[in-house]
Amino acid sequence: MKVPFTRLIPVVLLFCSNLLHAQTAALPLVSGEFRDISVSAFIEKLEKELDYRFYYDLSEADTARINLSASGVPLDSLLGLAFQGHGIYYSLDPWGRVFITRKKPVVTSLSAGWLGLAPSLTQKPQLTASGTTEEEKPAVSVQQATLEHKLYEIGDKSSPSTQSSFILAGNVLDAKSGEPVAGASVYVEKLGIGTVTDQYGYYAISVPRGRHILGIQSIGMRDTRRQIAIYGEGKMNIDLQGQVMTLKRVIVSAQKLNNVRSTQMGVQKIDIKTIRQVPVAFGEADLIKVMLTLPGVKSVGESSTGLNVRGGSTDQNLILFNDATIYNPSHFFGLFSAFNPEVVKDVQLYKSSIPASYGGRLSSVLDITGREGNKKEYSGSAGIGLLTSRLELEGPLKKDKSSFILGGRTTYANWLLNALPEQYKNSRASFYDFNLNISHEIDRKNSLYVTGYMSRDRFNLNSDTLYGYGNQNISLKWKHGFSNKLNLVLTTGFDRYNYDIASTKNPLKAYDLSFSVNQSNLKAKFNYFLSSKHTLEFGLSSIYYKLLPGSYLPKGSSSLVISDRVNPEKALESALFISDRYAISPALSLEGGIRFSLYDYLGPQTLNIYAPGLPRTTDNVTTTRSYSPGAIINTYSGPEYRISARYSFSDSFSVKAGFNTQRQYIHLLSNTAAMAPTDIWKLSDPYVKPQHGDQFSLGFYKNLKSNTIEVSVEVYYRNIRDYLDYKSGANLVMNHNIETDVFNTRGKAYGAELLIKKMTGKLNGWISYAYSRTFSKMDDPLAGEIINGGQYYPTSYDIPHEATLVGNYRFTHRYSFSFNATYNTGRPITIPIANFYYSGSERTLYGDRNGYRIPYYFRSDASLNIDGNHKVHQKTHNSWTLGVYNLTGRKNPYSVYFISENGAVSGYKLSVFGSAIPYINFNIRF
Amino acid sequence: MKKLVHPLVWLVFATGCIQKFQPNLVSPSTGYLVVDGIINSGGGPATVHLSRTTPLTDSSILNETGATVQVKGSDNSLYTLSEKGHGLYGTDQLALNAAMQYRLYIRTAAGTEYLSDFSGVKITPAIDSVHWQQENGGVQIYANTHDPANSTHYYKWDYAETWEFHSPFIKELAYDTVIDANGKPQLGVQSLNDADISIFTCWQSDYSTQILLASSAKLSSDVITAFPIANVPPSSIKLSVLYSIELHQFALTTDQYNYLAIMQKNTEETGSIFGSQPSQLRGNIHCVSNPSETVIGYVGFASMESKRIFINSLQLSGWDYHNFDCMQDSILTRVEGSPDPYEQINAAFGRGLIPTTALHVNFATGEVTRFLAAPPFCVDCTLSGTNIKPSYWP
Repeated sequence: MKVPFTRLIPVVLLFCSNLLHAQTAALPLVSGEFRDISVSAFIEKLEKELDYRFYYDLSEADTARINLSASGVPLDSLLGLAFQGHGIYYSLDPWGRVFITRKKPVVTSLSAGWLGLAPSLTQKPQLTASGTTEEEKPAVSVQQATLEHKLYEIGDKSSPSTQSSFILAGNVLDAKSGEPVAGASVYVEKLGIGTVTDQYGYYAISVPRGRHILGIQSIGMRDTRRQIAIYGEGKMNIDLQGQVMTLKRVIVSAQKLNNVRSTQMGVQKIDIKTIRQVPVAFGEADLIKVMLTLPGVKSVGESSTGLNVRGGSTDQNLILFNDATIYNPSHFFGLFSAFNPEVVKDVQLYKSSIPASYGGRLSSVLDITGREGNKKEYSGSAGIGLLTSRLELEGPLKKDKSSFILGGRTTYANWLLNALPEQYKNSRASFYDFNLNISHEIDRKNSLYVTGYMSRDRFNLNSDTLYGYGNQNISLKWKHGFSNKLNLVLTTGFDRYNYDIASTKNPLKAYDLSFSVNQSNLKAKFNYFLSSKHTLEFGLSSIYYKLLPGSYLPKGSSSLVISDRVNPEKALESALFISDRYAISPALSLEGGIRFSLYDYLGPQTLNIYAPGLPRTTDNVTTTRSYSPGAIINTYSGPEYRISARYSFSDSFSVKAGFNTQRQYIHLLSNTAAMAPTDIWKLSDPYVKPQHGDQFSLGFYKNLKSNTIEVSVEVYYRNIRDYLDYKSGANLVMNHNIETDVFNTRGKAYGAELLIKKMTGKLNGWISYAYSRTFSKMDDPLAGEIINGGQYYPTSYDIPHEATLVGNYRFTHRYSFSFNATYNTGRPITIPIANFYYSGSERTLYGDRNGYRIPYYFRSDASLNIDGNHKVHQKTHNSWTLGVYNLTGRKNPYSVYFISENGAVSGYKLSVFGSAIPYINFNIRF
Repeated sequence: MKKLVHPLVWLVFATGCIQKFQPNLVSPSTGYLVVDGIINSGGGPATVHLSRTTPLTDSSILNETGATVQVKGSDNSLYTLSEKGHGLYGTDQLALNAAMQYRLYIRTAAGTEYLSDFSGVKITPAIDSVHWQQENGGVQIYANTHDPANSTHYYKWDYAETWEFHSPFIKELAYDTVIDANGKPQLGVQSLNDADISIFTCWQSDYSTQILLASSAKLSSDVITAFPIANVPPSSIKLSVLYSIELHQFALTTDQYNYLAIMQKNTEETGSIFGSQPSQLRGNIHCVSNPSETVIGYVGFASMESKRIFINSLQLSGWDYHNFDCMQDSILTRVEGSPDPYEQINAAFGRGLIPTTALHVNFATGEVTRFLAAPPFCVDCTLSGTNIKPSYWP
């Protein structure tokens, strides 16, 4: 066995001068007498006895003589003794190879230090002692595993632990910026065990004792592996390299495993790179518009960012931005969503398996994760579009420890309004938003995150009335790891949404109307990795609401308007939750959760008491009752169940089923078709019951072509109780007796969703189809008028068929082409059935509520993304996006309506975008 | 606190659009009864209008004829409204007792009976003033009222507008028969002793087509100021001479106001982006034998207050009304030396042109040899109005 050594040199790195300790793992023990033999003879002897291969160059090694006797000496000690004083060095690698050299030792693996990240490999990793004591030596307790071919040892092999498996935990980080990588899969493929990092990049996985190959995959990152040998509990941080060359390429490799393997159903995760490549109106990357391309997610029209998920209404979605609740996710009449794409990392939508830690909304949770700033260097980006511009800056506050990211957006659409016909000349519209995220790692166990968000929209139409609305949010998060097994995320924050309307045209009637929702929240969530089979999540949360349902005040001294304030509403919504992910076998796993929510409607408040057995109208008020501040007026409580199960028939095919119940204590009251800024929120009170929903779902998941194509089919059936609808002609603004104008309805929704997704290769994208129906029913004469004779009637967002294609083709690394097309059935509207003559004009009689559908919707968009060159080291990276929205120029109906003008009834069809709209966007990163 | 009424602005964005649209609908066989009108309880004439709904494709008014209409009091008093034609039922005088409650009873020719809910009698406060101003080239007319008792709060108006207008050209000539050189009768024109002013000055009327509602419920005093009533578009013929508007004001009950507000919303302002969805109308009139039958209308009893104002074109600045459709032709009564000398006047007569002014008169014979003529609607104002001067006209 003679290999010319010189041929080995180029493949190894030779700058480490210390004698390397070979791995102590599994080294064979040697016994024998070696008397005055040459090095080559010594090695030949060893090669015969051991399953090791030796690499050496005789010209260097064969002059020395070996004199040695050994009895049960580990191989490395034996070699050390043998070559001592001869100037011969040796090194061992984990694959049973021994390199014999003369002047310098061979380094058998890349030094962790060569990326500037970790303690030198020459130090033996000092790991946590096995057992359940969680003592750690802070400075060196976490291995920084940067190399694929090095064997990382976790725990002390010689420890007497009898445990069969251990928890390995750590953070997955982006090697370039130090940002945590959320949603990365960490798994041992052979054993079929795996986990996913949380939003802080934290993972914990229970691994059986011994050697394993740990696979790590994440969106936009290179897939990687780590060799581990685990003998005790330990920590290991993993750095991932970004896909530097492929800026626009998206690899959802985390999900290609997740989709089939996770127990969750109806979960979709999309990262910002995917969002950016989908063409949208005016070219501003818009995560909500992209969510709308997923099956089961709809909106009533293109100027609306309100989402209807699986037949739910727009208020049944919990929209979280870094755990802050966003009440109005739209800007500029809904043309833009409220989230600056520069500071968003990814979006996760839960349509059916909503984790027990989330609650308070019936249909879905849209969890938007902001980016953490670059922890290594300052950078930023900017974008210029036709209507908006955005800027983002980020960088370390303290290198590798804390960072910030600051984003802002503004609009300059007034030029567009100025181009409109004369009667709109005085219209104005503008918006801005700001984001600030700060993350700070206090120490290995404690991290802090601060998120601030503020948005503001202002517009007036025809100069008369000025409208404005805004969100303000701040949240503070503390993440604490008690041990590998247990960690805590404590979140507290304050969220506010308000709108105001003012008019000064007639000084006698000048007014200022305002509305706001304020909530303070606190949430503690524990993750407990009990064993490889059980992962527990538990905690509690509390939200204190304070609603100012309206104040109507005179504006100016000559105004005759009487000051009017609707009584503020206060309530406390609390919940305890626990869930367990139980992997019964590699094929079968269960996730069960329960959330117990408790809602108290609090004083001060004055309530009307209505005569029993009579319709709730102001005429039937018998008396009023006052409650003192802090008094509990009434309480609603109940359990919510979250159950799902998965059975894998093979690596690429699984079936899942789920059952889910939800309660919602805050309601949006709207009698407009779209989500309007003037819609008001209402808390549950003794008359307005909480909404209650349950959902059964079943799904089939199949991956094709080595997991590059995901296919899923999900079916669901939902029941909705006590959804709030309004009476005909209800006035919802400044209504002191709102309970007289609303009533509870029953609803049902069902449907099937198909999604085929290919996220790798030059051609990627997805095709979705959804069949879904949703109905309401109102048949209680005491609550108010009976709608459509007490039969089920389709809701205004009942859209049976919807199909979407989203595609991206990458010609080269610099040029890619995106195309999407979407079709859906027209939404239901209430239409006129007859004419009549009244008060001097011909007028229209409307038929059953939602008895007709507007024509179908079809739109296709295309865009070309051009990146500048891909040199990593240059001052700025530029890119251009050119596109056309609504390629075919189809005049898609937003609504159809009928008005009487000049004595005749005319029907009109209103289209928001009635022609093809070209756009251009310039982006720069620095 | 109006909702966004016309926010189409932003979406028009030079890209959006609004198109005419007629859905393909098979209209249901409706024909529901429609009861329109607030019954004037103040001692003056009271009328209601009965009609039927028609299919969407049919825009005619289907009046209800042959019905029996009565106002019944809670004191068992009974007043009959007799049929006046065109679906109108009324009486010249109706004075109701404000302390009582009343309802309307209708029995159709087919024998179906309808009853409204009992309702009180509202006393309408007087109209304080009707004022106007020139805005954006047109004339905007406003109403002002108040209730010193602070108890009315809900108001409805309708109006009748009347205007004097003049024909662009005066008829000073008339066609006549003349004898030509060959002794044959031919067409000619003759000067009238006096110009025919009976077709020069006329009056035309129009009525409100919108539901005009206002509420002072949110104000500290029951005052309506500068409520926009009517608008006369720039350079309209209505203000070419003298214009008058008579405003009628009624007090409403809260429910009646709500009903009319829904109807107004449904038919005048739905469809815009944030506009509300149309809602079902549920009035206070019910079919006795089938309570679920749809009946449109909300019966109320209120005294009517009226006020009339005049606006003279001389009060306006820059109001230049021109009828650009009216041109006069110059016509020769006889073309000497032509094979058909009477060709021009015969052609003018055949086109129905009315001779207006003589251009050239043969002083010797008094014969008009050249004159102007115009189409009838440019000369005869009775074709678009009436030449009977209204009694209230100054």
